[in-house]
Amino acid sequence: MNRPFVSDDSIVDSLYRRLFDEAQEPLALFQICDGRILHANAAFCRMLGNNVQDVEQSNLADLILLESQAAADLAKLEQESHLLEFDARIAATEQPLRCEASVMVEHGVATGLLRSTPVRWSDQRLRCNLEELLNDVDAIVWECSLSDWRFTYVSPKAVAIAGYPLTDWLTESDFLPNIIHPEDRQLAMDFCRESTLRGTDHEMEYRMITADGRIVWIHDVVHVVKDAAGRPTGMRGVMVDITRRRESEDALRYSELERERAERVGALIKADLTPAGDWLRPPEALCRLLGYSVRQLQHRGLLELLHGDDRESARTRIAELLSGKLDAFDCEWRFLRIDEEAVWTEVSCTVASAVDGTPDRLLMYLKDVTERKEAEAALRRSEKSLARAQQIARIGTWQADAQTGRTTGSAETFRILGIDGAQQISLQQYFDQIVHEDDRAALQEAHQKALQLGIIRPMQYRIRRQSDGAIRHVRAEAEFQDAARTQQFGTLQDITELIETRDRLHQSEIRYRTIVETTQEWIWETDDRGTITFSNPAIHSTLGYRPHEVLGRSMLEFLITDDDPNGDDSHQRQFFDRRGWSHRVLRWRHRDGREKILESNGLPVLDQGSRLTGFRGSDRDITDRVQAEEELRQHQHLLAHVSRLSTMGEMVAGIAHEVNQPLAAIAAYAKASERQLTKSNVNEPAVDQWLQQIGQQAVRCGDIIRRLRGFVKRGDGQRDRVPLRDLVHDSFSLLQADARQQGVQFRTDRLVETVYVRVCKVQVQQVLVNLFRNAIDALHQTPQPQISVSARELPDGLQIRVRDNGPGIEQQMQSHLFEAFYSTKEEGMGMGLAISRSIIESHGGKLTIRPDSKRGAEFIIELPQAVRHKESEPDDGPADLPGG
Amino acid sequence: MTDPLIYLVDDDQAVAESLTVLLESDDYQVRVHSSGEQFLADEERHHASVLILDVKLNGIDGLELLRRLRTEQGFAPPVVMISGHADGESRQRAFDLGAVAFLSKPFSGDQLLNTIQSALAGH
Repeated sequence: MNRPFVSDDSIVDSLYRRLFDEAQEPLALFQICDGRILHANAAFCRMLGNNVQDVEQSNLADLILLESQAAADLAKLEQESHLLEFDARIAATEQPLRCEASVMVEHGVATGLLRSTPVRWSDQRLRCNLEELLNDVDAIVWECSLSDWRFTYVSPKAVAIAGYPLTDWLTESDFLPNIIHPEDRQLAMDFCRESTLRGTDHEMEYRMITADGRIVWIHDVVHVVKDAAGRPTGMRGVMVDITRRRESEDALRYSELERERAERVGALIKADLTPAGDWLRPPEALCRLLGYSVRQLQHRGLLELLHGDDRESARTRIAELLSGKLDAFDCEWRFLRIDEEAVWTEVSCTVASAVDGTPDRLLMYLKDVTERKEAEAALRRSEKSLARAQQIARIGTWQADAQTGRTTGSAETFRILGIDGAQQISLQQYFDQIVHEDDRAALQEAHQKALQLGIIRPMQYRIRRQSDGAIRHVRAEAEFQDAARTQQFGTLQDITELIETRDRLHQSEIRYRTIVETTQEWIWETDDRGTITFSNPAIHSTLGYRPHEVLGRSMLEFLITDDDPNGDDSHQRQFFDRRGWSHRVLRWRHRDGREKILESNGLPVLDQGSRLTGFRGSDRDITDRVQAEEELRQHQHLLAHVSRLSTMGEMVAGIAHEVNQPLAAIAAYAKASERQLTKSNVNEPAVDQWLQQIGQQAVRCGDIIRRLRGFVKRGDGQRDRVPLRDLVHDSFSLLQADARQQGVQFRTDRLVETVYVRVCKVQVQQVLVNLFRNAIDALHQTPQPQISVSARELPDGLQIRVRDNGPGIEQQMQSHLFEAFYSTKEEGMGMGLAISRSIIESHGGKLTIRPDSKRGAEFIIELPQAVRHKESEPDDGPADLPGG
Repeated sequence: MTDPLIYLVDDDQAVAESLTVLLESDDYQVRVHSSGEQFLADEERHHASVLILDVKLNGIDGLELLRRLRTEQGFAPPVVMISGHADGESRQRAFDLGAVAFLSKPFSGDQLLNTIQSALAGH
């Protein structure tokens, strides 16, 4: 019922074969088939008292005489593997024999072990013999109880194989799992337990860890021992050390991998060529490499297959080889694949000579190095890119070796240092010559510290650029490459521009800050809702608040709005225009309640996503200016009013004289007619009366004009003693805007500035405005336009000259200039000069034009009764006053 | 007895002609000059019975001419000033310089004839 060795494994077979042949007495071994003994060992033969030749091919039944029951048992011998005990006699000797047979049946062949004495497995002697036997094989025979999964028997070979003492095997529970390699443990034990409990014999391979830490591959063959009812009760098995097999298998697998790899990467291709360069037998590997068939390659010589650029070199080299000049050469040629792609090949070539010494073939070894070449090219490209990148970024790289004291660097590094072309420099030299003397100590200290701490902090210092001696700012970063801190790898960056820019930025920031702090303009910032987030101090002079008092408040709080607001939103929309605004004049409320007028400029502030984040702007206080403008406007309005009023009167004044002449003539003719009728004795009382009426109506007409003039004269106003200076400057200031626009320079001389005149101020001002107005209009296209006013004393008055440097006035026009309704201007009424003359004449003076006013016009006003200022200086030298 | 000779200086031709017609209708001899200069150039000016002089003249004006006649030339005949632009100042000055009358244009024919008669009578 027990089967000690059951396996179809070839290794167990061989083991079994060795057991069979080398077994010692009294272990008799045999093999039978169909009752005939196929094979028997010496012990078997001796046991039966026969020699081997007699035994083999005999029937077992002929050799052993069995009892009837035993015979029946023996008949079963070949049917299944089992263990049986029986009594028999040896046929040859009739010697009774107590037999114990253990039989294994395989493919109809029963292999058995026969013992002649009644012994049990536990018999000490057999055990000893068996152990002796088992010691010879690299296998552990074992027995295990299923009740506590503990080994009940382990063959001594276990010590040799695994190194653990046998007592460990036998006494420790779970001994085996503990010595199985952890990676195999779970799988092996689960498989074993599962198979055993199912009652299935099984085999497995796993790694065992020996007592000295080696790994031993084990092939474990397990037989499940069952009781009569077929329930598993224990196990027996053989653990065979298959480490060597595994190793050879691994070695084989490895060498196969090697071969595959070698094929893949293109190993050495051996080729033989004729001296002419034709292939003696085209190597298949070369065919594969170049994509040609062997036949195709047969017709293509070496040179034909080479890249055009390499052919000449090949030709030369081969010629040198053949001439004996060279024994061999190594070079790199490009072969052209069938698809014209170049294949870089490492070529090693020698020549073989015939018996007579003439070279008869070329021996060539070829190796595909395309990948290496491409890698080299890629490396070169990436090095070039790196160098370019360094040049662009102005960052060089360097490596310092503390042991040699040398520093190597990239081209950019040395360019930064101003020693183009160099590749290395000593550390000492770097510190002594290149680093700026003021930074030297600090850098060396940092260097020492870095060596101590093992951490190199980024350093910023100055160097003297060697090429031009310029002081440059650099930034160096580095790290140690090794634990010994002898190798540093680092970068060097020229940051001079960066620093200069930063300095400039700083300066500009200071400048702008100063401007913002000191300017009279209110500079502010708000968020997108108009809440003030910044204000410069000028808000104090503008609206009376301190900057901190307005932070967080809305701009709109300070704004004066006329109409009833439709909620804050409308103001916000009006004020905070997304596009910004300029020169917007708004009224604001000063802290003290006054109204202030500010001219506002605002720009939207956008973030990078063009989202509006607020506004920034400046407001200028134009309250005074606006008030001055208002006053000026009122003044002008008044003047215009006066001017309009007097125009009518002056017009009358201007034409009265002209009209009075014909009226006088009419009256005279009427009277003359009357008298003529009387003289002629014509009695026509009606005509006589009509002529009287003509005379009277003419006189009446004169009276009307006289009354009108009288009325105007009453409006002349009072004549006051006023400074001429005020008259002149006030008049000019009314035209200041136009004068400024044209860049007119306005000059007066000293007498103008000091003299007093007794005139009607408004009227004379009107004359001056009129003259200035004409002058400014005339200067429209004159470069460097100028108006000058000068004064000169006359015996009985003052002469005032108003002169411009315009185109002047033509002679024929001069005589008409003062006539009423005469104008050279398209929109002129032609009354200005006529009225002006009337005004001056009404002052007892004269207004004339200087006859030769070709280079600019010059008008002359003569006024009687001029009053010199008592403290005035004599008239000399002009006093310049800016006109624009 | 010959008709009295009246000299008239006025640069307005219409005035000069109309006054001439009027005066001649009253049997005066009239001699007309259109400017002060022309009058000064007339050798017979001292034979004038009356001089009618316009204040505003081109060139030497009436008042200036009067001043010269009176102060420099000892011109004796009565002078009647006429003016289309009469103002108080001119009138005053005229009288100061010895004018016998000052007529503002337009004046009636009777006014002129009466004035001339008075001037002649006064002379």
